[in-house]
Amino acid sequence: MSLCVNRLQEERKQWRKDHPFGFFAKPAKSPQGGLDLMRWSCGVPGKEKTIWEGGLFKLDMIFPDEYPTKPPKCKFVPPLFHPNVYPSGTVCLSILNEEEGWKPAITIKQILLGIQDLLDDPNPDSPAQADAYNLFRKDRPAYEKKIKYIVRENPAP
Amino acid sequence: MEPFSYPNTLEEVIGLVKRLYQPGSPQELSKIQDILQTVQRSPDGWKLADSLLGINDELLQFFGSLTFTVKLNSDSESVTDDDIPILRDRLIGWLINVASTNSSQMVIKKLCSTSVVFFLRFPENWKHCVRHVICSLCIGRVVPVEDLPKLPASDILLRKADNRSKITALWFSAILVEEVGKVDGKNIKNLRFHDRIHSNVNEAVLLISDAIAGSYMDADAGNRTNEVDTRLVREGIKAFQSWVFYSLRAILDSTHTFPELKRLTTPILNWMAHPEMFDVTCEVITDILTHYFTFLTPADESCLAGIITSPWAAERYEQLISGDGDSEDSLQFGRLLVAYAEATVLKIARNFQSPQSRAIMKMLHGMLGIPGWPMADEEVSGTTFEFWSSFAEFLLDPEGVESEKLGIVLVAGKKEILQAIEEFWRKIRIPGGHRAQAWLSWTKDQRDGFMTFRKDVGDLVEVAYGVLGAQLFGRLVNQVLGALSQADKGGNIVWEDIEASLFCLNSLSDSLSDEPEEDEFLEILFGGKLFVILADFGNHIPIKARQTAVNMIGSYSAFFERHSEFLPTVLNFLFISISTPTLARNASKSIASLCSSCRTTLTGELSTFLYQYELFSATNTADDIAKERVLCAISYVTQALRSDKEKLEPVKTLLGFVEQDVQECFLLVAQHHEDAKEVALLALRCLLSIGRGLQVPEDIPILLFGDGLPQPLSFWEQGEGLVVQRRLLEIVETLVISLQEDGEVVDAACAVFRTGFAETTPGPFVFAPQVVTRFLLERAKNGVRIETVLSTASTMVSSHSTDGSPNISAEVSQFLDFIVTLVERVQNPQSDPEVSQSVVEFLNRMLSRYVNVLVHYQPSERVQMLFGFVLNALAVREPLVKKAAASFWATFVSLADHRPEVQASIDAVVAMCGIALAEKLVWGVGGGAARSEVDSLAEPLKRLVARQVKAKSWLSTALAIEGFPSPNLTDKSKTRFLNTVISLRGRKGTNQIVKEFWLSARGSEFDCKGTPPPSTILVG
Repeated sequence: MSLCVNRLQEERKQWRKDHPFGFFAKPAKSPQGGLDLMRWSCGVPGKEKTIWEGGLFKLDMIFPDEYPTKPPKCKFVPPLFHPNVYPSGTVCLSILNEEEGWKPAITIKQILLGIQDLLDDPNPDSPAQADAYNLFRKDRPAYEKKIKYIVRENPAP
Repeated sequence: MEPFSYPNTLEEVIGLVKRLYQPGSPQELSKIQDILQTVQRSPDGWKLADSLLGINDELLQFFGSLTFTVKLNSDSESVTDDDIPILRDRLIGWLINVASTNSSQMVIKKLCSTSVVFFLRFPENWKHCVRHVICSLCIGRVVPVEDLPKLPASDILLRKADNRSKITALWFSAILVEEVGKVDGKNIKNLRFHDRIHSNVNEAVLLISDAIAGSYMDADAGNRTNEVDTRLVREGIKAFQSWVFYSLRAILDSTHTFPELKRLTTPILNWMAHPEMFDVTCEVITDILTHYFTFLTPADESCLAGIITSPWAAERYEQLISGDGDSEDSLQFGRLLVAYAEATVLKIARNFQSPQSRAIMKMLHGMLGIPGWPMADEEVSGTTFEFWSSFAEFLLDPEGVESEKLGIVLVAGKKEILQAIEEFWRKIRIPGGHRAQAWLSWTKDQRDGFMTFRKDVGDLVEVAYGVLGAQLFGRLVNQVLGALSQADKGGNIVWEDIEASLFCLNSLSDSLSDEPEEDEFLEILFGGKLFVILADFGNHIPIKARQTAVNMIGSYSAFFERHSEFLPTVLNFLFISISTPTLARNASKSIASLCSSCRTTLTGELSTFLYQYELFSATNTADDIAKERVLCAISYVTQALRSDKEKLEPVKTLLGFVEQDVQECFLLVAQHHEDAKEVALLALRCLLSIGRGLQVPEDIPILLFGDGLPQPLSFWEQGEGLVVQRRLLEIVETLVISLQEDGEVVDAACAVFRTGFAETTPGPFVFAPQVVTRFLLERAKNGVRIETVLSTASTMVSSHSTDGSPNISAEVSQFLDFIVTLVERVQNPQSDPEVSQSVVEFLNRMLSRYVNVLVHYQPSERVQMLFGFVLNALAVREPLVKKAAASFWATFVSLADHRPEVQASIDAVVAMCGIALAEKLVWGVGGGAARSEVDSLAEPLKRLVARQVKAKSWLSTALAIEGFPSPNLTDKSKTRFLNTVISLRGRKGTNQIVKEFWLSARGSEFDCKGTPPPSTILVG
């Protein structure tokens, strides 16, 4: 079995045994009806006591064949209004960048917790979409209002 | 605060140490600590450590030991080769001393860890440290190293030693591996530590073996060792744990494994049943099962299996599942059981009939029946997900089973899974009826925990479906029908049960095939009375059951596409539900989902839907998001009407609903501006939803007109259709004007126009480009949200750049006029990054079809200024602006237009900007830009090299500037960079070269920003 598949099975096992409240992560269905270990459907809840509280945001985690040498790609579906999320939905985060903070030891749980942190703590040095970034910089009250609306649209069950 | 001065005598030091451990202000204590640290680090530190250890006082001895540690860490270089063995023996001497006197555990452990620090500093001077410590402690004096081989074996010496010495040696051995384990094993230099540990493992085995000698099977067996020092045994087991986990790490780091340790496992397992040893034994064995199963030999495993299925374990198990009893011990036993089951799941599944497998399965089922709400007041059932999931996955792909046994294994396994699902099903029922109090009394964490548990059960149900298929589905549906039939017999309907089944069914909606056999169950479910009861007696039914039912309809929208005959009942229920605030959002989501998938079959229901919406929107509590979603849903159905004429009336009615909000806004605006604004935003979002709903679904083919051909006026551009468009436009315009061009309102208005851009066929939201342009420019001239206006315009340009779309050169030109004036005002792209980014982005979008408008713009000086602006945009500190500019230049330098006069103008611009462009790019990739921006800057560089013959000369001019782009670069490295980039001719390898260039330009000062950007190109 390849290193990648091995590791993903172990990740799955660890997740099933213990995972943070409100999150979910599982391999997606393959078109043949089986499971596609290389593509996971995940959910990241907004953190308590932030404007994101009460929301649950779905994202796909797509693993390259070289995983865990290379990081997975994390993509919000549908794309999320956030300064560090590309218009395509892809998350821009240092630990997900092969040339920056990615380390093979980083677990799926850590990635999802990192993304949860990013929600309320955007990194203004790495803007990925103009809409959210501009509003975040120019009109913070309107930005926060918009986030609260998005949270209401995507409520945690 | 009393002043503290540097101590001159031992007494003064003692005074300070004692003072340090007494209460005091943080400033005071930190001052004392600073002074004491200075003393510890001083040349007198060694002597001080020695003196303090000699005083019979716990704190002073502890501080003395700490002082040795500080000296070893900060000053080990000052220890001469001759002094190293003396220092080592001194530490052992103190270890014997504290072990043989009444010193506290804290002091002894501290001295053990100080001795380990010595080992880490001088591993070559203490090769047999464990043996050395054992011998010295057993004999009661420091044994010379050279005598070690001559002394009797450690196990013989240990037999006569007192337990205090043995425990001290155990602590030393455990701390030794714990600390060495923390050393980075990937560093080749640290391998020597691991080698040293390896040569000590046999001694550790003797030591632990001695500590756990004697055994304890169980009280009934009658071989209980009465005279056992439980402390010694416990420490023996703990040391074993440390060594096993060190060897686990060693497997990961290097090639060392310690098979020697394995002979201790079974003796340790035999302590499990001892009441005072249960917790430590259970912990180490659970850890081994979880992380290091291969450490167990077949003999250990069968010993463990024997213990787990023994009468002793049965007693623990009974305690566990009763839900009370000694809780920590029971929970620990539960963890052991689960860890064992997880580690041996394949074996259990394959040897299904063996008494041991049967016994373990029985216990695992029992664990799902422990009283209490999962994660709120019961923690055990949630630990078994991994076991059951692996078990189910084994049945999906049963490897390693003989073919004649396969049938039996599968049948039996399926039975177990089904039973487990039923047990979990009981657990996920939401407290209702008289138990509803429980739910209300929970903390948020308990509620979150319970809901997470439900989600996990949903996942397991999905896995189980893979094995059980329609059988599971049928079971869940029948459960619902059974619960409903209670009403016929005069009983109460237990809605908690129905909710749990619907919840499980929800998690299966994605698993069904295209034409599933499960449809027959769904037909019974959706055709039965469930949704009639839910609709008619909703108020008497628990909200959670209604919520889950609402969600279920949405998840099975594919079923309703196949069986539209069931739609009226469920839609009726959903429309009733939207008036209940807690159900409104989920219900509207399900309505939208059904109306989207079943739009063509629902067109006959349009008038009913519009009526239902009218009723709903008239209520005060109507939820805004629900309103938007239902409007969108009705628009989906409207879109499916065959002709535009048929769509006219419903669209007019929909606009009528929005106009009610507009009226409300007008009433409020004078006195309550903020409230009016919220209503206006809602109205615009409703329009947006209608616009989205009316969009043609992607899978419907469209008719294209030929490029540039005059197109006949569409239904919506004349007569009644045009009236609707004008009405729509008026709503948007009046709202924007009434709210005085508020930024958020402008944003929302632009979003409404965008819904039409995506369309390739005419529609009420597909406005003529001149209408949109007039609206947008009006906003832009007011100066609010210019970036939104321009990015909306950019989208319009893109949607009019595809084949067959109308040519909008005239409108593009109007925008360009505006942009040129804007840029004259902004001048430096850094001064308004948001606007600059949208300007560059707009220019970018022009390049695919309207480049002629750009390059032929008159007067030409103004357009030159514009190009200067985009050049300067390459060197601003704003990542998005820089990225947009890089993308602009990458496209621009490689444009090839079929119109010679256009191409000539493009070439002229490139010739004019070439040198400056090269300079900006060299500056960026030469350390000026951030590392993450280098790839985007490499693009225009690559295209420049590949497409422009003069690229080399432009680049060499830029590189020839003294000290540019960075003083860290030599002429030679600049030349090498140039030659490599040119020879690669824009191929992929360029990125790597560019990155290396960037790195050497930044040099050692990685964080510095490089040289200042090249001079700003003057504009205007």
